[in-house]
Parts: sequence; C-alpha cells; structure tokens
Amino acid sequence: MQQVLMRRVGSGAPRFDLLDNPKNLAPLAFEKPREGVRVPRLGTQDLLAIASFATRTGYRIDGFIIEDRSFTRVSDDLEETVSDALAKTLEEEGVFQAAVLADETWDVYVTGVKLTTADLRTVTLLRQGAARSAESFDIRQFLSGAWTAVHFS
Amino acid sequence: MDGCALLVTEKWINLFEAAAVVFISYHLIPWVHGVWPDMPSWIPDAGTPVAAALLVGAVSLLLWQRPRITVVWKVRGDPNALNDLRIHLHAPNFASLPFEVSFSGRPKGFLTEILMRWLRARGLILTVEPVGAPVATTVILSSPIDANTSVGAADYRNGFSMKVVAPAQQRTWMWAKVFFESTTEINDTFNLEYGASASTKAAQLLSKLVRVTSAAEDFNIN
Repeated sequence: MQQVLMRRVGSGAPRFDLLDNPKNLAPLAFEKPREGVRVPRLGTQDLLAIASFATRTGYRIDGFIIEDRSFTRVSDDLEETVSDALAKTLEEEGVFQAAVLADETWDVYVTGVKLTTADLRTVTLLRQGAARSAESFDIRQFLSGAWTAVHFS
Repeated sequence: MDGCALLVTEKWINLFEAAAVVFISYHLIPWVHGVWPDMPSWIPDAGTPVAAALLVGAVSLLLWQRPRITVVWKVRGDPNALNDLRIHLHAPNFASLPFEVSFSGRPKGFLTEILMRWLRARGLILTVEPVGAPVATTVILSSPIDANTSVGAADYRNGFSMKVVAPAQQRTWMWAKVFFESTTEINDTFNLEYGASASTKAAQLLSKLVRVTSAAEDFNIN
C-alpha cells in the first residue's frame, strides 16, 4: 500500500506527499502534528466528494468500499447495492445527499472508492489516506485538484 | 496574548459604559434640579445616576452582547445531550462509535451582529479540540455549504472545525457527525476545548470574543 500525507502550507491549499507503506503500518503512525503533517481522514462525505470530483474530471467510479459501524466490510452483494445507490444519488443529488443516504438509510461508512481513469488505470483510495494506484498515476496531483474543488479533510 | 486582548476589549466596553453614565448624569442632574426645584436635592443626585446606569445598560444590551455559541453532543438514538464524552478504543480498530455534534446560538445586539458578519467574511471557524488526547477525529458528514462541500473538517491538531458560512440560529445551526480513533489502547481523561478562529490577524483576535461552550468538557477514554 501507499500512504498519502497532507502538509499544511499557511492557510492555503495543503501539499500532498506519497510514501510507500510496505509493512502496512497504521496510517495514523505517519502523522507529525507539530510539523503540520497528517493523513487525510477521509470520512464518508469526503470520499463521496472526491468520487464526485473524479466523475466530473473524466474518471469512472468502479465502486465504493462499504463498512459497518465496527469497520467490518459488508457482504459483496450489499456493497454492490449500496455502491450503485450512492453513485446514482451522487449524480442526481450531489455529495451531501449521498452521504446522508450512506449514514442514515444504510447505516454504514464509506471507507474507500475505486476509480478508473479515462486511459484505464485504476486507483483505490481508502480512508486515512491509504492508497493503491498504478505507478504512472500521479495521485498527488489528483488529490490537489480534488482538494481545491471539494476541500476534503 | 489572545486572552489578554479579549480581557482588554471587555474592560474597554465596561469603561465606555461607566463613562456614558457619568456623562449623562453630569448633564442630567442640573436639568432635573431646574425642572423640579422643590425636590430634595439628594433625590436627583442619587436617582439620576441610577436611572442613567439602567438606560446605558439597556442600550448596551441592545447594541452589544458577547456572541455565545452552544455545542451539544448526542449519540444516535438518544435525544439527551451528553454531559461528557466516554469512548472505548479497543483492538482491532481502536475507533469510537459516532457522535452527533450540533452548534446553536444567536448574536444579540446590533454590534454583535456586525462583528459576526465581519468575522464570517474573514473565514470564521469554530473549533473543538480534545486537548492532549492521542486520538484523531474524523468528520463523517456535516452541514452542507452547497451540494458538494460542507462545513466540518478535521484539523491539523486532533480535533475538528466548523466553517461558519451563515448567520447563527437558536435551534440547530450547524452539525457534524464525528468519531475518534487511536493507534493504541488509552485509559485516561482529557479536556474538550471549544473556541473560534479566523483567517486574518485582526479577525483572529476579535474571534476570541465569540464564546463557544458545551456541557461536555470531559473526554474519557478507556
């Protein structure tokens, strides 16, 4: 896995860095609060906002990773059903309504999003900034663009 | 530094009120003597400053009351506000259940309204920080600004902030759903600190006049 870090730069847009995390350390272990470095927490609404930004810039949503309140991944069938409903709501009503649907109707967390770029490279972004992407894909640039558009945290 | 500035600002308001009472009394007492010459002189001498103080107090309240914002914590399915936060962080995820946090308040007084409007234009945020607690806060979702952005955000300490984009409301004004997590087990109690901040230096200073409080000040983790 890879780990995304966000670094505070004044009061403006943060800078994104990417580290390898071959030992799968807990993402929070990478935080250095005194140096203004933390992992993007990426709650349900943040991941949906990033997915929405992605679709507006030519990506396709392959699905969401859905977990229950104890952070256990739900069954494949339920994940597919919820993913489809979220993608539809994102397109028709926007990020907030999709987040409400996940939180209140389905009572689940969105903990990841799987995307495919226009040239068929895949990207998986998980909560707390864990990521998996093709080597040629610049996830830092993607996240900088997403942050400017939707201000995820 | 900020606390000092705040104290000085509040003292200046009190000083201004006292000066107004003296000024009004100084001009009003001779007038009262002239209108009611038969009245024993101690009545206007004592009564006029009291009346002036009441008048200045009333006008001051209409013009200025320190903006107060109340934060209420609840857990899902329970309508009662929490008096403290108790979370359990255990393996394998070291994550708490979600909390619903709501913010309410209404600026009272003309100057207070102007101040809040001025601060809002300078990036006013309300902050919640579990001081010193080795946890990270995640905002699950929060009040929308528009269809795709929202007011709540995790910050670079260990808490979260709420961007103030609309005038305060007495009922729920802004809300967020959050959870806490850590990398290890913790057994300790910390303080939840509430505050306000803004983007420019002057606004940052004046944002300290916004008083953010909650019944939930203890943050107990085990």
